[in-house]
Amino acid sequence: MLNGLLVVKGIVATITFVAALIAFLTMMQIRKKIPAILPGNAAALRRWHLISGRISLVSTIFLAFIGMGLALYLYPPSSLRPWLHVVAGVLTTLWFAGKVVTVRRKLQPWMKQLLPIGVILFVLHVVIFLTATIWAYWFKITGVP
Amino acid sequence: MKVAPPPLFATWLGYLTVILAFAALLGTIVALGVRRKDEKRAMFLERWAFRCVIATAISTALTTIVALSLFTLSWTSQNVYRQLLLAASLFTLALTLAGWRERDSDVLWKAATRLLYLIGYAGCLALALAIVGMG
Repeated sequence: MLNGLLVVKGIVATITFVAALIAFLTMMQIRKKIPAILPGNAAALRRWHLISGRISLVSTIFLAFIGMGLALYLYPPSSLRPWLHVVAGVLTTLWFAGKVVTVRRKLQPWMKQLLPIGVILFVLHVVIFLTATIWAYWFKITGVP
Repeated sequence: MKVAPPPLFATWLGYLTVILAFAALLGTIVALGVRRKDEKRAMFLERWAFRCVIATAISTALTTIVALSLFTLSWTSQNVYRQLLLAASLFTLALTLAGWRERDSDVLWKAATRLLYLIGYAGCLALALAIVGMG
């Protein structure tokens, strides 16, 4: 039963990461921080940023709920990787909530710092993704510690 | 003599979650029904349904905390992983519905969004029943 839960968590986590990647790339292109690699004008990119951000937010809430249940009660972290995963998960959820509140309520002076806030959020998503179970299995299979 | 394992989610908190999800669904349906006759009452009911769905999310989180604590203490092998998955789905769905309603207070009154919104409320009730039904 735990394996089934982890499979669902893995699938949702992959969706979250892809959505976060789309949100990151679209905003970077709108702000001209990267070359124009995605099709569409600024309005379309902004729409994609919003849609992927919402998908990422909803799936992050779902994963945070399962993650907290597993980490606190059912499957406490025992080594560095799960600990990093849990800490990054908590930080991501709090950071994401902070970003949403900042944007919704137009909180100053944080509204002027949305780019670094968004970049940090994406970096946290990357940390969670790279400390996930799938990589632990992959490293075991390939023999890398 | 075998002793039945204690229920994890089928506690009074679990039943409260079901009642709240049911109240939210009932509130929206009745609000739709009475809208033409008494708009003020419909608005009142719709507002209370919104509050009930927020309470459902909070109640789900509390129920899960209590259930997982019980599981850790007594270690009864049940459907705990399935129930955790369903509880996470219920919590996310309830929060999503609450967030949608908070952004758009006319979500129930617009023909384009009404059905999806109602399906969401029905989904909340179905998930709450499934969680409690598993024990």
